[in-house]
Amino acid sequence: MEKKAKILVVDDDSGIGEMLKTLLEFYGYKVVVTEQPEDTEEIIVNEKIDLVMLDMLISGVNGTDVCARLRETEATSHVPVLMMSALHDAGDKCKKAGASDFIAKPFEMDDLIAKIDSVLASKKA
Amino acid sequence: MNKKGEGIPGTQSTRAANFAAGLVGSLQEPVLLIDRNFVVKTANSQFYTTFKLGRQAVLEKNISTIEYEGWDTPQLIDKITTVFSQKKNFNNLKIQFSSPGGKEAVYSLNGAYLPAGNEDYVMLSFKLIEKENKKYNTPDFKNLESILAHAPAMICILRGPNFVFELANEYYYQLVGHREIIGKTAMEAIPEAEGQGFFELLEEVKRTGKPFKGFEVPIKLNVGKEVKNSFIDFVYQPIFDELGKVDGIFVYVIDVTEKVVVRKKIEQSEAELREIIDTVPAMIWITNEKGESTYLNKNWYDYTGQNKKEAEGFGWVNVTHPEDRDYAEESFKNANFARKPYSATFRIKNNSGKYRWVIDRGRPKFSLDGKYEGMIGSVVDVHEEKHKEQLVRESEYRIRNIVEEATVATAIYVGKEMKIELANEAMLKVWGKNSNVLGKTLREALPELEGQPFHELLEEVYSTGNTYWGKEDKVDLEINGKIQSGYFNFTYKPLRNQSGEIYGILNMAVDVTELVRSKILVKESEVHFRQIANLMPTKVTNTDADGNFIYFNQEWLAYTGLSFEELNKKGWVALIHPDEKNIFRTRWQASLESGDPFEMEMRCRDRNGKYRWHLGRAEAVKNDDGTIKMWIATNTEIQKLKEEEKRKGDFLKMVSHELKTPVTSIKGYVQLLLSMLKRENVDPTLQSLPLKPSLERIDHQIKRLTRLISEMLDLSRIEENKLELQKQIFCINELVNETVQDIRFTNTQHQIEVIHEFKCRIFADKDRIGQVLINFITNAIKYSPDSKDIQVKVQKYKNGKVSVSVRDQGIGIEKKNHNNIFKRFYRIGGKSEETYSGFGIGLFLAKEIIQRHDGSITVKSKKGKGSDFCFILSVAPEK
Repeated sequence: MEKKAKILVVDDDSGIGEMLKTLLEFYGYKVVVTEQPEDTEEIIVNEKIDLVMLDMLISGVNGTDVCARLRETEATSHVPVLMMSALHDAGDKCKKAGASDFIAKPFEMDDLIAKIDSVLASKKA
Repeated sequence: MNKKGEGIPGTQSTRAANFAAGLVGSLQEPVLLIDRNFVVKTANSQFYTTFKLGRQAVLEKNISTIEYEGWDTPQLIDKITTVFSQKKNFNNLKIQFSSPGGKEAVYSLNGAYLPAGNEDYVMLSFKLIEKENKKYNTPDFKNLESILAHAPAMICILRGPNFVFELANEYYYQLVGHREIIGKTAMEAIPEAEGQGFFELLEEVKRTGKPFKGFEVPIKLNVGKEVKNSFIDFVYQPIFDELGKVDGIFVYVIDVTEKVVVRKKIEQSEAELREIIDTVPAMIWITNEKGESTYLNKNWYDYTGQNKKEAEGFGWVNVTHPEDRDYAEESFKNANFARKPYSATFRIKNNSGKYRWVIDRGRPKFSLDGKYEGMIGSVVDVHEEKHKEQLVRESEYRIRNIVEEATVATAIYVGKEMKIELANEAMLKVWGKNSNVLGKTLREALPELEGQPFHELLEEVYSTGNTYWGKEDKVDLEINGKIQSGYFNFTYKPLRNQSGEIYGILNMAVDVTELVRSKILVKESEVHFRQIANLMPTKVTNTDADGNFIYFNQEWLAYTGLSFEELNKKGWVALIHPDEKNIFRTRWQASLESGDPFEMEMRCRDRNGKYRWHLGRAEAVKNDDGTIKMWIATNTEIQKLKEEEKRKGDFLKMVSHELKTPVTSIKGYVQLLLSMLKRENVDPTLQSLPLKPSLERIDHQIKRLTRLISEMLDLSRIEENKLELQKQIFCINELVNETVQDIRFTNTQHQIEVIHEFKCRIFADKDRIGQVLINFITNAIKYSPDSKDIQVKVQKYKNGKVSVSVRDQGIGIEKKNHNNIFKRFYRIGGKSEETYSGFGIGLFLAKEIIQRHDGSITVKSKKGKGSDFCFILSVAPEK
């Protein structure tokens, strides 16, 4: 774990994006934040993103659709997606859309770090 | 010899025989028989002896030529001439005879006319009155004369040990064919009688001195060249001499050939008749004057199975039905005694042991001379007829009994004019009349019926034979002088006699006035009810106890655009949204079975095919005995309400989502700060501030806030029926421990004791069950301000279930509120209400969650005594 992974946070709420950026960088991850879900693929490719944290309810767009699209696109299909939502019971829906894992908002810091690490580990394996 | 009994009085032969017996004593007198030419045809031995004359001197001689003084007396010739001419006897003609030897004697002569076939004779008998100056007083000779004169009998006298013919009258000569017999022995005179028993009988009479009478004895005699067969009645009467020894035999014979032949013929034809009788299809009987059966034909024996011995005398009584026996026997005996025709109907046992009804009829039988000889009669099986008659009689009897006893008003009218033959108390009461109406016609008895349809109905029933059933018919009757209306269910039933003809009408009536009146009331109130139902802005239906629809109000018809028939045929269940249809069916069926009220929200399709939300409610209307009479159901449209609810739900969802976003941020920063404080290179001045406990408090409050927000979201989920469970197998004991641990972490004031009496795993949504447990424990904490002890217990429950209970010593809940606390937004009212925070949805959610796990939730609590909340779930099967 020398080199920390690069994480893309897709959330239309800037407050969440900023908070996650601060939090994750404190833990040593590189963080890219976007409020525009349609930019996701491009950023993943350009920034060589290791993990996408995707909000389920982005204004105007359904996060699960974005997730499904990422899975179907060859350039992004290898990147694991950790979906998050204020709807604490949305886990099944997200996993069906191809998400590697799901975390309900608001999250416990320890839970978040554990999930990120586990998703990244499973991708490497 | 003949079987006929001796001495049947009244017959000719016996009469003659009796006279003959009297005659014998007189036969000591001399007797002569003279024909019209005064020629002596016969003389008896007394004559010869008395007058000392030989046969040659007397027989075939004119009496006037007899050489003896006195015979030519003109007086005697005159008398004899008169006898012949006038057929009249003479008596006591005294004549003095003088023998050639000069001896004189005076005799009294009797002359008797004796007709015999074509010839006639005079028999002269001589009674000695005076001889040689001596007077004699011999018995009167009248009897003999009389007998000889009147009896058409053959008489002869046999004398001496060898039975020499001493005397025989003309008839006797005829019998034996006018042969020479006088002076001959019987055997010499009638040799052909040898071997026919007569000689032996003569010997017998001679030996014993006892007379012998024979009846209808056959005898063969040679008459001329022919052998003549005859039947005779005869008497052999012994004649005694002075010493009392049998000196001769008086023979008296009557030829009964003709009679016997006729009788034989009769007997033969009687036998033939019997044969005929035996073959007629009836039982024939003949009794004697004592009433004893002397004859029964074959049919009797065949029918009863009796044999001759059993049927003898009064044997027939033994096969008579015990109940009828006295009656039958007495009837017969009375008739027999009175010698009058007899008829009786009774039961006799046939050969298969069954009793059958018979008519027994008899007529008395008299002989030609008017003597009662018994009865002759017949027995005819009338069982079928009698049985029918019996049935008719029984049914009539039953009817009468029923009518009189019945509480149902009943009357019987007889004849076309409807005469009231019978009306029981109940009917009289209905009519408002008394028993005086009996025997009157219906028109006379109830004149108020004029103008009402009943007379015509009765006439129709009487003429057609079709029963009329009246249902709730109105009848106006005059009761206590006032015309009063009543309603009746009644029948006019034709009554038929045995041959099927209508002879009357049975009228039964039930007063249903009360019923009809209340029906009218019900009808009126039903009209009101329908009006209300039709005016209501709600769909109203009415079903019977089994759930079959009997009514849809106007609103239903308007909503669906269907007619009552269409809706009834289709059933409004078909209009329920597929998502709710099955749940509806299950729950409605449960209500139909239990009678419990029904309530459910469901979507129903309108006339345009759109589904709109309705609140369906149904309640059972019960009979007095608690059984369900019908259901009344309402379906109220709650579409707008639902839409409002949906908007509310969406709003809640949005609110919770929007609230969570800043909470997430806040929480993130708090946790970041806490992480930073844990780092080693933290500024010591910061370390001296109470930053860490403050941040931890913030974090705890955020957790609470998060839970409240989540509950709001859950509520909308449940209302939309979208609560999803993520079930997994986990250990309930571990969940309890973790949850209690978490709560202990933030709450140090209460002592939470955990008891694991039972360890198991369950298949459930772990987070949701944890949520329920948190709710229970936080409630326990919240409502136990003064008591610190809380007990969480995991126990084994029956039927493979586990119970988790949380008990506190807090303020408790009144019994009446036990159900309310599980309702959403419900919070226990009272002064302290404001002191307890919360939305009032925690227990509602807990109940919903547990129920969605097919579990149950319970509460035990008393005001001021703490509460015990418990949920029960199934234990997961071991792998």
